[in-house]
Formats: sequence, structure tokens, C-alpha cells
Amino acid sequence: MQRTRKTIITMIIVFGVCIMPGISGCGNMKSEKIDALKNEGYAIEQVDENSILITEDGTEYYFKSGITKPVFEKAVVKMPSKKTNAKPGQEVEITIAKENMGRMTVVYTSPCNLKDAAGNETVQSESMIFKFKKDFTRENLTNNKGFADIGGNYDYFTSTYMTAEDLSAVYNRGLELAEIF
Amino acid sequence: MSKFYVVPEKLTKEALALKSAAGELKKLSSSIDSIRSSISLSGGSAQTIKESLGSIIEQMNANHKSTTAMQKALGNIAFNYAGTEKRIALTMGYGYGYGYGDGYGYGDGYGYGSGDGTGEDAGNTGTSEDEDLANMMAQYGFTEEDAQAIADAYEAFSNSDKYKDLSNKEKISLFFSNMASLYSEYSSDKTVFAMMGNNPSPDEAVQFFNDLNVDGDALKDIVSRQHQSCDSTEGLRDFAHECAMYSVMSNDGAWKFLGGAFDNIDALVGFKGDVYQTMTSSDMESDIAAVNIYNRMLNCDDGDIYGAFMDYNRGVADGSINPSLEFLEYYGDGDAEKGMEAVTDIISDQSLGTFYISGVGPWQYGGYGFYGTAPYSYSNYGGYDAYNGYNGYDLYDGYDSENRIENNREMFLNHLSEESGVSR
Repeated sequence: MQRTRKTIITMIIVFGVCIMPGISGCGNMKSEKIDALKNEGYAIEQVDENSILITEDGTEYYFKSGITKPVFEKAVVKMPSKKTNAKPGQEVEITIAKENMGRMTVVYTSPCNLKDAAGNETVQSESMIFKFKKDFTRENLTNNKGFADIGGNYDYFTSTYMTAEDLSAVYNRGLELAEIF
Repeated sequence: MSKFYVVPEKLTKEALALKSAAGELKKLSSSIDSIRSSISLSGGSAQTIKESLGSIIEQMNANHKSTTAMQKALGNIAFNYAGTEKRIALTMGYGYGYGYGDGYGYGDGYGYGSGDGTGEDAGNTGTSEDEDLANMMAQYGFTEEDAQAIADAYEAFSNSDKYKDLSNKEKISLFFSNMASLYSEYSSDKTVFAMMGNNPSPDEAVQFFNDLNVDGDALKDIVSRQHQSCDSTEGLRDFAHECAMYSVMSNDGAWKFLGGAFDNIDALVGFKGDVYQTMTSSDMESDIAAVNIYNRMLNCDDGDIYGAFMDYNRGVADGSINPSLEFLEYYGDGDAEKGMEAVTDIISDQSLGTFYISGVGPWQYGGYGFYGTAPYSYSNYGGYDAYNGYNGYDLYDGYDSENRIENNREMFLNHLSEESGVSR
């Protein structure tokens, strides 16, 4: 009985000391720290109570609350669409997200101009998703297993927008930036 | 005069005007060249004159260069006009007979030739084969040679004693599984196509066409090149993707039969799979076309499956076929509105199949399926926040999975609705 009580007390302590801070936002960024980083030259802003944005060379790096400090969540890169029939100003958005267990996800979203039966043009959004383990090489794509040609899509993406090296550079910069918190 | 003649006529006038301009420039260029040559040839005996006229010669040389450049540019434009005009003419059943002369060999190979084109009256020599090639060029982006190579491959296949007695379904399975497998990702190199389409390896596919006395390696290059070009150009259908769908749809193998216990495999290889994985505009167009073409090929009375394929392309080109409407009518047994409901249900129905390809399982939405039925349906999910709750925390699919699938789903259903006029 006493042993059970001890176990329960230990669990409460562990929960209170280790898990609650993460859930309750102890890993959130303090506004003084954000101001200090601004003074150091970082283009940093609080997006909401759980999210921080740093913009660097046009790339947006997002950080979310961690257990003890903010952690890198994703980077968003925007660049002009290179589709042959893209309209001026149309941009693609590339999101490079950090996943659990050393995995990464890249989502490519592009506007596409479609016509209905009457010939009226509508702008829709098409996307491709690439999931990786370890690095951004084609060999480490993990979602190329269904009917869709994810490998071929990735070849197009890397030859048109960002190479595996470019993706790694942005991703690693996101991890580096997380160290400033 | 039919309205369909308006565009070709306009193009004819513009093309003829360009031809005339190019001719004038050619004459001017020749004159300059002739003067330049005369002066140069006068050489030593007229050295003094040449020196004194140096600046003039320079100027004339510059003029010659710019004239030649203009000539080339105009020739290029004219060539492109001619190609477009030909395509429009063929697509509209107008016939290709504008008589631009004997080729495009003018100048440096960019211009018109010295034809005696007399406009539309010289024409109407277009054949259905020409029209089919034009449609393959317009709808898939093939070059004329590439489109011809594919047509030749089918002709060799259909003329082969070995295959002529096959049923429509067997023909579709054999021809298109080999055609799809020329592209590695749709061949047995990928387990899902080995199991669900019984597709051969790329080498076996090349050999299949070589055995028909068709250059299998050249076809492989054509199919792969077209497939890769689709991602960068909207409005083009994806030929290899469509072939892969035909191969799976026509397969009656045991693995597909077993897979059918978990999901609609024919939908999964097409629109449903793309919704849960990656949906581009060319995927979407091909997903719709492939269902329509497959049904036409399967049911064609004369056994000419490629002819049924070409008939469909022709109908799309002349506007007599509304792809989305035909697609919805198929799924609604003739009733497009029911078809819209059926397609929506097929997409919304999560299964082990969708989990396998996307990593999103029903249990991640509380066990009620992706959009399920009321009160957990998509339209009512505002009061049931499991859908929104796990953004970014999914162990399987990772970042933004539900938004992406939702986006693909909306894009596909909206397109069906807009093109067919059937409300959702």
C-alpha cells in the first residue's frame, strides 16, 4: 500500500516538474528575450502565444513552445512560380517542417490556373508532399509507396525550385536559430 | 460560315502577312549582301574606295545583321503560327490545307518556304490520323513525331497475329501495362504496380515493344519525357499516369482482388489516391480522362481500343465531350448528381488503402472516418474539433496532412462541379 502511494507521489512529482511546464508554456518565449534578440538584429516576432517567427533572407522560420525553450517547427520559403503559364506575381510556397524522430516533411504548394467549361479561369492550389528520414535525398523519401509518382514529383521539384542541398541548408539554419533562445 | 473558321482565317491572314514581310526582308537582305560582296570583292584595286567607305560598309554590315535577325525572328513567329494554325485546323476538323508551300526551309530554316498557299480553299486535306496527332500534341504536349511513335506502337500491336484475338480488356491490360512500365515508377520496380497492375519491369516493357518491331527505347524516352513535362505546364494530361491507371483498372489479378477488400483499387490508382497523396492539375485532368477513356475502350464494339481513345480526345477538343460530366455520369449510373455524391463518398471513405498511401488513418479522427456522416461530417465538423486538434502532431503523416488532403479534395470536387455544371 505504501509502495503504491510512493509510486503515485513520484508520478505526480514527475508530471508536475517535467511535463506540466511544457504543457503550460514554460518553454514559451519571454517578451524580454524577444526584445533582446530584436536588439541583436534578428527580425523576430511573436505570432501567437505558442509560436515565434524569425525572418531571414526572405525565409520565415517558425518556432513552437518546447519543454524548456522554443524549438524549430518549420521554415517557409516563397519564390516565383516557374510554371510555363504562371501569371506575374504568382508564387509557390515551400514548407520545410521538422518532424519527430529525425524525420522531415517538405510541402510544395503552387497556384494553378484552371478553366471551367465556360472558359472562365479559376485559380486553385495544387500541392506535393515529400517525407524524409535522415536527409533530403531522393533515396530517403519515405512516402514514395503509393500509386502516385512522388519520386518523379521530387525530381521536378529539386530541378525547378530547391535542391536537396538547398533544403538542408534552410533546415539546418532553422535548427541553428533555435539555439539562440 | 461556321464560327470555327474564324480563328484559322485570322491566323491565315496574320501568317500570310508575316510571310510577305519575311519575303521583303529577304529581298532587302539579299540586296545588302550583294552590295557588301561587291565592295569586298573590289579588294586591293579599290582599296582606297573601300577605306573611305569603311564606315558605310560597317553600317551596312550592321544592317545586314539586324535584318537577318529580324528575318529569323519573323520566320520563327511564322513557323509557330503555322504550327498553331495546323493544330487548330486539325482539332476543329477543318483540314490542314493552307498551302504554305513546301516546307519551312527558308533562310536558316526558320521561315516559310516559297509556297503558293491560297488559304482555306487549298485545304481540307486533313485526315483523322492528322487530327489524332494534333490532339495528342495539344492535350499531352507531345511532338508530332512522339505522337506518331505511340500511334505506330499501337498499330504494330493491333496488327500482330499474336494479339489480335484478345478481348478489349486483355488488349488494354497488355498494351497499356507495357506502355506505363516504360516509366520506372509505374513498372514492377514499384511493388504496388507489380501487385495491382501486374506490370512488367521497364526492360521487359522495352522488349515487348521491340518484339513488335517498334523502338522500345525510343518509346521509353518519349513516355518519360512527357510525364516529366506535365509538372511544369498546366492543362496538359499525363500520358504515363493514364496508362498506369488503365493497367490497374484492367487487371483481374489475385492481389487486386484481395486489395479490393480494403478499398476501391480503381479509384485509389486515380483520383482517390491523388487526393490522399499528391494532386496536381495534370493528375486531376488525367484522373478524370482515364476513367472515361477506360470505359470507352472497354465497351468499344470494333475492338479498336486506341481508336476509342482517340475518339475521346477528339470529343474533348471539339467540345462535344464534357470530361467531368461524363465522369460523374459514370459514377452515378447515368445521373451526374448522384455521381457527385458517389465520388464525394468514395473520396471521404478512409481505409487501410488510404492509410497505406497517406499515413492518415480513421482513428486519427476519432474513428469516424475522414468526413464521416453527421454529426461528424465535414459540413458539421465545426462542433467537433478533433479534426482541427492535431495539426502537426500526427505521428504518421506529419506536417499539415489534413489541410493538404482537404485542399486536394476541394480542388478535385470543385473542378468536377465547375466543369460539369453539377453542384456539389
